[in-house]
Amino acid sequence: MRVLLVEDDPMIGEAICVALKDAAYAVDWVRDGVAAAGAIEHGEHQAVLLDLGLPSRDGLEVLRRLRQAGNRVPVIVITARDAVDERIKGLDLGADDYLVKPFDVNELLARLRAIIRRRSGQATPLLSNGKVSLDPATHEARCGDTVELLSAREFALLHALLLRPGAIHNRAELEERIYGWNEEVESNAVDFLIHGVRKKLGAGIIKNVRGAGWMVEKCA
Amino acid sequence: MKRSLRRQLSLMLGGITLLAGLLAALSSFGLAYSEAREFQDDMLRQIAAMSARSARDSVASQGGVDDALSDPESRIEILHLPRDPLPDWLSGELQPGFHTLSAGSGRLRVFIRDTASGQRTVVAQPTETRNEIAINSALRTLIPLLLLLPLLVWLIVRIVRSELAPITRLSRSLDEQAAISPQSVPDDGLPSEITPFVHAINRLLQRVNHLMAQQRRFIADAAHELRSPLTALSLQAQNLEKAGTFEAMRARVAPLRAGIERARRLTEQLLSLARTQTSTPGGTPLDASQLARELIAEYLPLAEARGIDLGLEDGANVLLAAEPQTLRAVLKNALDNALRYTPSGRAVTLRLYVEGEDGVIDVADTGPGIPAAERERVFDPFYRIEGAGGEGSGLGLAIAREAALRLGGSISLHEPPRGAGLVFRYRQRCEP
Repeated sequence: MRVLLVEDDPMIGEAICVALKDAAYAVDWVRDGVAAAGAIEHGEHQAVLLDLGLPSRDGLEVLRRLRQAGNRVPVIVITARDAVDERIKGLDLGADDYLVKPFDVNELLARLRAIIRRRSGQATPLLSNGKVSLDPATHEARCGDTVELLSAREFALLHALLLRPGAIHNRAELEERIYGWNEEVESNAVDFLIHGVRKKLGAGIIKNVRGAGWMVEKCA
Repeated sequence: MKRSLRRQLSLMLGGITLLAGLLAALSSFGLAYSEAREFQDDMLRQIAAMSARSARDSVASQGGVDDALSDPESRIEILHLPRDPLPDWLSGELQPGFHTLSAGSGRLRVFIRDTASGQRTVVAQPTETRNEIAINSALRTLIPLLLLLPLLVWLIVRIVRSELAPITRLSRSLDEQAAISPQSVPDDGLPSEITPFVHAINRLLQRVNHLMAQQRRFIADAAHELRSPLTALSLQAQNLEKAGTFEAMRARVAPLRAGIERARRLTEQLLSLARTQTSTPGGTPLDASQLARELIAEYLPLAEARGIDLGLEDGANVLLAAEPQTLRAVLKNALDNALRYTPSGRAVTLRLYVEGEDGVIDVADTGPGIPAAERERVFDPFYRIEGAGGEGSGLGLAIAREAALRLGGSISLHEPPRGAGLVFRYRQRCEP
């Protein structure tokens, strides 16, 4: 799960980065509006946390432009502007959610999970392919009677696969979901994580399609 | 008790009208009275003439004409001498003409007329009766005036009240103004003497509104600005809570401390601004060189830690009337900024000199400077230059300007004569 954070306050940005990484998100952090627009264009992120008072281009303007360009990436506006009409404006411009500073980290994470869930068309908070289910709030994976707590990276991997059961993800895609820009990715990191998940939940959980990548089966 | 214009005007105009009316009544009474008396004398004279003629014409019909001439109400008595007996109040030596004689109980007005034939006609009337008649007729002339007087007074009170009504309305509309955003008062229907006053009030209200808007904006900005350090603090605290290992915990304490420091600094600056705004202007003469040396000593450790060459150029003995804490606030904010934005290896100079009648204190840095377009805006509370980095509150220069205003001085930002940087200039009239 890869999230783009757009925040100009260094202290707040850093703290949100830490919190998101704790929750197994890969985070990329940009500090101004123009850089944010560029990063969003690449389409690598599953969600954007957008501050409004940004240097070089206001957050609302970034939002307006990206929606105008047809980009549907989920956006949570994070701002100290709490006037009701500001919030209405943000939501009308295409924000999926609106969080007013100061906020609770757990609320941010819950809202993040919610918009990702909504975007993937799921109603329940649990991600499941019918065989294995994953709770994004607790990072617990359940397979039959086995309940295992996954590490942050293991969770990110299984989460990425479970968002689209039956679809094959190649190594690059998975790496992109799990790691931020400035994180060093070792060549066999994905294999290592898959090994870990299989060991905890059973070998049949993640299927390897030779030459193509990995998938979780879509069962009923 | 306050002077009430309405009461004052009503009292004065009413009083003067009453007084004038009474004087007029008195003099008209006096005139009418003396006229009535003259008229009565004339009447006596005419009666004497007529009665003398009739006495001569018909001696036989004695008293007939006299009876017709004498009026029982006016109590006129007619004597024809020597035919009639001489009454005791009349002596023979009297000259013809008017006389006032005392007779028994009262006094008489007497007219004596002699004819060529030696006959004498005496017409007499008691003065009491005459006076009564004169007073009555004089009083009758007073009636319209005395009826008009209360009407006049009533009219005056009414007119004064109605003329002053716009002022009463004005004060009521001012009273009803909400203190939070007073609206300007309409000047239509007001007398031209009052409109300048209303305009002055409106201008004052405008200034008050402007100040209130400024204060409101400041409070809104301050509340907004407080959110950032609070957000950082709450996130940092939660991150600390979630740290899995002792090492991670230690690593997360540092940002939390930085967050607390930032919140503390902002609070301190807000307090400092509030203190500056409530401080009393002026102060006792102060040796600026002394203060400058103290400040240099205070900031030297920070400058050395950042590798900045901090120096003093003390060109003149500058005496300023200033409250030391306030002047200190001005210069400290300038030095804070200079040391924050000057790169390591460069210099910051505190310079004192006299220019004309003004004492000038410059804080010259060799940092990136501020574009001319932003040199005024940086004094707005919470204004930060885009991309300047740092975690300043955006209050430093606002505090400095407020403090300078209190001291009666001024602050301006300038380009240095050579090279990059910024000159912060404080200017104040020197003490002699």
